[in-house]
Amino acid sequence: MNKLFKYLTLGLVLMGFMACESQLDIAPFDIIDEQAAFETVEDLESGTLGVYGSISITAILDLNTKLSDNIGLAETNTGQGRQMFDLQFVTGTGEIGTLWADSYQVIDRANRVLAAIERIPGETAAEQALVQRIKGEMIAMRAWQHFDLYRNFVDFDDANALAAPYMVRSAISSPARIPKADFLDLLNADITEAESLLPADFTSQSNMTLTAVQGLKARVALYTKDWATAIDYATRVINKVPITNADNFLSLWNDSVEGEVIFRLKSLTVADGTIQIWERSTNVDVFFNAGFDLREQYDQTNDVRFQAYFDGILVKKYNWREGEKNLADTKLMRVSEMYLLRAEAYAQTADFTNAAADINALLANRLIVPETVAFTNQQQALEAIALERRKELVYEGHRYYDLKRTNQPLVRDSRDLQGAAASAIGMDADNFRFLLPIPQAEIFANENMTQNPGYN
Amino acid sequence: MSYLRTLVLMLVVFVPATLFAQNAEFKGNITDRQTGEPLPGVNILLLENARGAATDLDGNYSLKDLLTGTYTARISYIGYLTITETVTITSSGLTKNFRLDSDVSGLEEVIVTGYTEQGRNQITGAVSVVQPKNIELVPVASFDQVLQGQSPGLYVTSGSGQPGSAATVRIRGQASINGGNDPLYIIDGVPISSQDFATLNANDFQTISVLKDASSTAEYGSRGTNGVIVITTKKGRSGKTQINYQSQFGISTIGKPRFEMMDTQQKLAFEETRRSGPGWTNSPNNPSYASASPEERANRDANLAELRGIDTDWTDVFFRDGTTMSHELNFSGGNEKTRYYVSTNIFGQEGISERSSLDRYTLRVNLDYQANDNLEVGVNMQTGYSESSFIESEGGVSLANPFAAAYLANPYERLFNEDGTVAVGANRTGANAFDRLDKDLNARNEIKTVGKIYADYTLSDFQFGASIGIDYNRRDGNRFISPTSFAGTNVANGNAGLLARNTSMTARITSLVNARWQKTFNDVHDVSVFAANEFITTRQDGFNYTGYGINVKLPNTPAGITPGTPDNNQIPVVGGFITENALWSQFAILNYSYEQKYNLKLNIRRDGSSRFGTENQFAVLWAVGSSWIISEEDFMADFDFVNRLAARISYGTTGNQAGIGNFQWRPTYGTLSYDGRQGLVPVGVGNPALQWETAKKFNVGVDFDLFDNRLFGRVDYYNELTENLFINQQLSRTAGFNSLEINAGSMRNEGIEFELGGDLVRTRKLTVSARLNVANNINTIEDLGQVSEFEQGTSIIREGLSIGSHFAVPWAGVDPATGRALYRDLEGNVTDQFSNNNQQAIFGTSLPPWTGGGGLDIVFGNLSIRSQFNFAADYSRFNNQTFFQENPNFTQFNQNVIMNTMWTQPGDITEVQSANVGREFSSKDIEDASFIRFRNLLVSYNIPGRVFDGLANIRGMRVFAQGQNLYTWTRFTGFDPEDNNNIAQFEYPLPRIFTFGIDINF
Repeated sequence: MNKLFKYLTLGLVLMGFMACESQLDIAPFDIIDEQAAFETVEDLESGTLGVYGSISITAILDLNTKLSDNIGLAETNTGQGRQMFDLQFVTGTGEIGTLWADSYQVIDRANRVLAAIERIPGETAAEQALVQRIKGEMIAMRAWQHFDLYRNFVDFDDANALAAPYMVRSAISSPARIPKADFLDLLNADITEAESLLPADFTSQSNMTLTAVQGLKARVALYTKDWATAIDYATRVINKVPITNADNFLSLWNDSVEGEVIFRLKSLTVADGTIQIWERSTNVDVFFNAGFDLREQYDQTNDVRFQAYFDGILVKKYNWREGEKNLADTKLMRVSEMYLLRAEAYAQTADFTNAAADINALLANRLIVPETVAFTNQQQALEAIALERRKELVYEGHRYYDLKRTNQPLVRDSRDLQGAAASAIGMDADNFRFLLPIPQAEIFANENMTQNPGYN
Repeated sequence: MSYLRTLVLMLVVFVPATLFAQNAEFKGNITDRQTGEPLPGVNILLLENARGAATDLDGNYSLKDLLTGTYTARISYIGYLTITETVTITSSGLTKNFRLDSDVSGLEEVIVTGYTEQGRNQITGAVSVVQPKNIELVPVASFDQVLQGQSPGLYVTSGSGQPGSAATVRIRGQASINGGNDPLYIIDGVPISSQDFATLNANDFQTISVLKDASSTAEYGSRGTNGVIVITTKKGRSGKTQINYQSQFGISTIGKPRFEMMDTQQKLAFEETRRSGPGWTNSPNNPSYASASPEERANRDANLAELRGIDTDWTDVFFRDGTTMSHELNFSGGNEKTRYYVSTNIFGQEGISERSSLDRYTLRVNLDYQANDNLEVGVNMQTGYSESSFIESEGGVSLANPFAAAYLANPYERLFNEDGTVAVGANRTGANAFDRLDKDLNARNEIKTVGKIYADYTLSDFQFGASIGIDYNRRDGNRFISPTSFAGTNVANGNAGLLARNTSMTARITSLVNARWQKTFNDVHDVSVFAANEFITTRQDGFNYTGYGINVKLPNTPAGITPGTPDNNQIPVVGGFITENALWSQFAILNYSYEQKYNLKLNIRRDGSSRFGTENQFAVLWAVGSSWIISEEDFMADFDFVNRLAARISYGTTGNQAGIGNFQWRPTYGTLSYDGRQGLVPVGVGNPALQWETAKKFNVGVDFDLFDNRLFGRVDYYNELTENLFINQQLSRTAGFNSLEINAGSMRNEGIEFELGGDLVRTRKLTVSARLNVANNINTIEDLGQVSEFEQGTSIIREGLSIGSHFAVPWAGVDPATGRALYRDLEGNVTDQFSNNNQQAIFGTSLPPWTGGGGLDIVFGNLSIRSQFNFAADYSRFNNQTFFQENPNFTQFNQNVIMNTMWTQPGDITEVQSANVGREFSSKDIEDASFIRFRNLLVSYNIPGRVFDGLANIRGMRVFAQGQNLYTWTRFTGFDPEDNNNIAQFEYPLPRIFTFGIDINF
């Protein structure tokens, strides 16, 4: 009996230890443990793709569409985007939270790649050059996203305003808002560093390139009213990127030519996301129409943009690919913006000849039968440039910012407001809603965060 | 070899003793009092000399060579009441027949309590037993649904009337906010997943124990917090082969809705008032009519006349009477060495919507083999295969969902064009939904195998056991959108339908080794110790693909998929996953019992989980329970009417690790696609300190059995505090992540459970018995860590409130002067301004504090009637359907007739505001969802075996008719007050099912 008992006890003990502690150490299969994420230069490249792929293809477009005078409420809208369109957005409005969180997510991912670069300098000369380029792209991307945060959440006019936290490394923390001047210093430092790192011969439109960083610098200069820098950097870009002419303009929107685009987010398949701001693809429910007033601004027969951007009352701009509803690359920067930007800077410095020349250069590539403009005074020039800017860059993420930075009111056409709330009529230039609220979720999680005026 | 020597010695000692015995014989026959059938295998024991025997196949027993004298005979049999009777055996012997009453109280002598079994008088915890006879024959495929109302504190909601749908089961309320709340299910010692009961045959179940408190669930350690449902399946009995055949057929029908939609005339008139839709555009009252040309007017008149001529009843289009059929055949029997039970079942049920069905096939083999005096080996194995077909967008606020389309489609819309094709098109509701249901497919096939092989080796006071169990489940999903359907032409990739198939499998391997030691000292101290080591590993993987551009001639097959090219946007999408987790545990259970009067049970379990980082990988959970069988005390001897009285108390800890990811503690990276290449992105922020949710459970209870078992019941009070709740701690978004899963906060469930049953009438011919169970559970969120509340749309998680609390702006009616909707602000003032800032949590909870069930059973001779009710009270649900059916902004859909009372002019007293005022979510849509449901009625008649006079060896036959979900008393106006969430959104309602059947024993 003792013998048997011993065997059984032994068996029990053995079986007990068969399943030992090490069997609880199960590594994930479909995801990668952090330590193994960045090991080679190829991993760094994957990291950059992750950063580009994390950028929202619609957030900036959506904001500048719904908070603009460029759309009208459609009869079949059953509430989609109404808080924004009706100008009733609050700290908890979903679109606002997305703008804030998406930018910081891209920044965090860029910072993680940058941190890994410190460990992976590359072995061969070619690898080292690639690593330097990746570093330039990531710093440029970090600057790009911080500038979006600036455009959304920071007061342009008040020199003492608080900006957003500027994140230069990945961290779980509760950062406070920093002074605007400090924020812009960090932003410009990033742009300068990226400029020094990015090689001139790297020209992929779906990556951050030297040209894109220079375009960003011109944009920042425009927003901060540094007209000389704006003219300087816009010129550098214009000299490198030819503008797409009227004949090829439609091909620009079905993505069959690369054309004048400086930076685009590639969308190859439906899985990459579709642009569904104006309608729902699956059931073809229209949420917003193209605005009446907007459509009336175009020469409907002579201007190729009218055909490219609209289909009757519907928005057509991102719906040109055959059999692929609302699938299109998101164009985040085109050279035509640089012409408009430089024209505005020239006008601001009272150089009306050059201002008109830039507008005429644009119109020469948009009108079938060319027409030219000439400016005689600053107000006329600025108004004409602003209108041309609205017509050229509509639904590309500019209108709300342009009103904000030029202190213009939002005035909507009553024909676009059928069924809308009374508040949708518009905003005076000094309305607090020209500054978006810090999202409720951030205020809630970060004890050091302070809200923008008007939202408390 | 010393044990052999002991054995020989014992034989030598005993054999001479028999030599002095007289030749008296005690014999007779034992039958079931109700059926008159002989009972094989009944134990008969003479307490004075411990002589015993068991009845043979014909129910005969015999004890020979007895000394004459007076003895106490104890006759016991599982499922029957034990008889103790004084018998006098004379030299001529004694022949005595006994008739046993089945144990109506259901308090089995031996109760399965998890890893072990316990005598009824040794139980220290809150364990309730669901009687298989109370749930047998119910024509519902998923066993968990059938548990509704069967045990106090066991709250089961079906959530869907789709045949085979899994139910939501909660034991003693909800113990976790972000974690899992499903109980642990164990079948024959094998843990199984809670979602696929539809592929198991509940008719195989022999015992169902519901473990609730710490003393009973702590042996399951980190899986025990949500309670445990332990099921054992039927085993064969030694003796002649018994064959049983059951069959039933029936129909399912939809219940009457508690709301009324407009007909064509009403809807067109409503559109006229609303100045929207064809009822307005074609109306002669439309200002444009006056200025229209005569042709245009004639055209409009004709349109209107045509619409008026159509009155499609969309409920007729989508709903049907579904059929149910079931066949079951089982064999059981065995000899002294081998016992077996084999069964097969075929079950087919159509749902009340078109394209909704379940077909199931199951097989079971249970085999036990006594290899020698010490060793028993056996196998329990079941395999099931099921085919399910589902409706479109089940439970979704979607026009494709037939339960939404049937009510939202306009009655003036046609189903068919004149040429016989379905009248699909933009903005059509009914025809589009029908087209999808008719041409597209959403189906799933499932294979499930649950099996265990075991060996038990007994050596004097020791028993050693080892077993390996497998719960294997494979699902094949099939989604087909036909290129010829309207939906198919709108598929973004290629506009020609799609075919999506997915396969996933779960394999859970449980290996257990255990040792048990059991000994009685001095006849009064019963001690048993059970110690075990268990390793459970669960592996899951899946694969899926979606192909586009389906060839019309090759529908519903991968062969019809168009190959993808860089330009055609029809590149098939592939995906899949692999994941695994493991749990390694050691545990021990100590039972001590003094004179079967005072009991003590100690549990301790150490669990290690792969789901947690090294910081908190192991947890030790424990429990103490004790009970006092008061009725065994001498001072109770005078209280004749008390058959049994026991008090129980327990305290301990259990854990919960369900509901978090297998690798959530780790910081991880994943992939995303950009520009056709894989990018690398962080996906998990990681928290190495993540650990179990821990529940501290206290329970005290009393069991009573009075007046010769005519009144029995139990009362339990419990107080359970879950700590270290899984909480998503919100992060500053500058971290790149929204939240971090941490352990924080606590939630309490406190309640009373009450169970009562008994025979109101007990005569030879007639028995009337009733049973009732009621539970009251109060849930309180005590602490949420970082914050004091989370808003979740129309509900809120807030400290001090119950989970599931509604959160809405109070509705205050319609201003008769202006037609504006009135609300209350936070101060209680009436205002016509709607603001979400005025949301308040004063509308109760969607988790019912009061639940229960009961029934009345009547047995009159061969006729028996079983009824079952269940109820839930003092809770409310958000009726989201009213937002669509009672909303002037949705005139493109059909509306509730209530909309005819819409405010139109000053002075109108109504609850429906003016069409010019927005329809908001408010407390108007929160409705009292309390209900009592007549769950089941079973009427059966036993035809005794003698009627057949040996025909086809029939030993007995039962014919029966039953109704399921016969009636529901409620004020809720949605489809079904009983649901598994807080909001009614066109969920598939439970059907009413009527069946007839037979049950034959050979």
